Amino acid sequence: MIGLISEQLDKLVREDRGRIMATLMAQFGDLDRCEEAFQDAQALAMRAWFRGVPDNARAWILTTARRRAIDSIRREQCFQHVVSDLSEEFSSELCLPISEEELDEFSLPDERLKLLLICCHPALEEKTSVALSLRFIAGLTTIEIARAFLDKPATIGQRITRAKSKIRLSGIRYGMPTHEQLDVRIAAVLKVIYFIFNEGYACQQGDGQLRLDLCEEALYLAELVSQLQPNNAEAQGLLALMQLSYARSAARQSDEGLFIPLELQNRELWNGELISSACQRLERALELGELGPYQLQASIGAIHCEAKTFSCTDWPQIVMMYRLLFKCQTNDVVLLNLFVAESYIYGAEYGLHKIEPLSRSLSAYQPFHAARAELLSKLARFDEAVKAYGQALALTSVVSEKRYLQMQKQQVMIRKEESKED
Amino acid sequence: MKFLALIYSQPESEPEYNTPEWDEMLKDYMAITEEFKRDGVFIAGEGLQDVSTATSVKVRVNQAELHDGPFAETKEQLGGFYLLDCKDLDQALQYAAKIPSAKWGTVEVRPVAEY
Repeated sequence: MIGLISEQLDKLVREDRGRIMATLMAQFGDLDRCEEAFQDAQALAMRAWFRGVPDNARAWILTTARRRAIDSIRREQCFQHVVSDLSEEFSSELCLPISEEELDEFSLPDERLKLLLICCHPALEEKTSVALSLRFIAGLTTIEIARAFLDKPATIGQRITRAKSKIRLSGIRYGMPTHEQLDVRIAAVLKVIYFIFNEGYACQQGDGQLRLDLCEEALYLAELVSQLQPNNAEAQGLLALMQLSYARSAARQSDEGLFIPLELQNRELWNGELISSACQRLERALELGELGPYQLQASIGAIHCEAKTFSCTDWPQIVMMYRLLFKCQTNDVVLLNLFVAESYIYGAEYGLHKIEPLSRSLSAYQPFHAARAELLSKLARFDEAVKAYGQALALTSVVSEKRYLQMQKQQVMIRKEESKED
Repeated sequence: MKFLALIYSQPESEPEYNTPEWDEMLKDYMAITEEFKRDGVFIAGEGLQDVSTATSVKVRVNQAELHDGPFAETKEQLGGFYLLDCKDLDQALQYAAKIPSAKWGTVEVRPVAEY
């Protein structure tokens, strides 16, 4: 029973964390206080729900968290000998249990955008913003965030603690920024949304399910930003990019939970409707005349989506897009993608030669080793390919990816045996 | 909410004394101070004498020990400050970006601790 309750509580927290946090923040404006109250409420739920999870579980959690937050304000006020009218007002309201309708009213989307804006404040380091948003809006654990960052959980934990204290003390206000500030703030938000999307798109839990709820969360937030900023080309570009990826998610995984690379995907399973609306959105974004990395990546996605089969892929155009992208985003991951795309035009030998110099900077990046392994196996350099698959395997904890890489590795070993027999 | 804007810059990157650029900077500082006052955010603001005039004091075993020079030897030196009253960090940062030295130096913005 306890196990079942804890499971249901985990599910609830995961799904509604952003909404509950945003609602608490709207009332109390202090990230630290809200999180503590939220955690207290979960701990209390575990004790109070021993007979079973109540129907209005979300409202229960929210009410309890609010009461805890009020308690903590009272304790501080006692300490400081300060009396606030605000707290009196809260307390009378808090004696009454709140209904699901009220909860829905509190979870208006702009509350979540405000929470996102505070997590992505430009006075915070970007990596900190990503960690805060993943923690408070997406509801990821510190361990999951650490894995996404190739970082230690303790480091991320410290980062979040420091950030909460900076937000509390530095005068970062919880609310909508002015119109002119919104532009800068939105750019920071877009980056974080894309990160959340990628977490959902790439990260699969042990049971082999795509973390589509996170993708949908990111899409929802991107749609919200795109509605608020209809003339922000990158906001539209990001939404198009994510939609183009999401439209293909059904084809990315087999019934057995195996990862399927683009090359082997059944394109019939792609969501054509979503693809065409994303392409229309992308075209409108491009017409705004402010090219940026999201629009370029969306363009690459669109080119893939236009190809009827993998062999029809317009690689020269994709290479051109990656070159433009490298001008906006000078980093080795973009170079890796560029060189892999070029290898489809100039051959595996060329591709391998180009990616080797990236081995130091991308040594902890799983796709580098997987790409290198594939190029080596195309060149029949089996022993090296097996070793590279091993390196890739050591860097992934995603089950379906692991199984895919293991299968690839085995195939290389079989090919090696066959080549000996010949 | 009070914010202290600490103005740091390298002396060699600042306009030289008695040049048109120096006059320009002075004019800009006067204009910005006026703007801060007009917007009602100005509490205080001063420029400091050169860091070579600094004397540092510390008391050890009830004895004041003096050191001829700044607390920290850094390339960027504290040259002045504004104490501003702003509604939030966003507003404080907006005003800080208008401080002339921000163009060649760095302005560090810190909220004043309320006890």
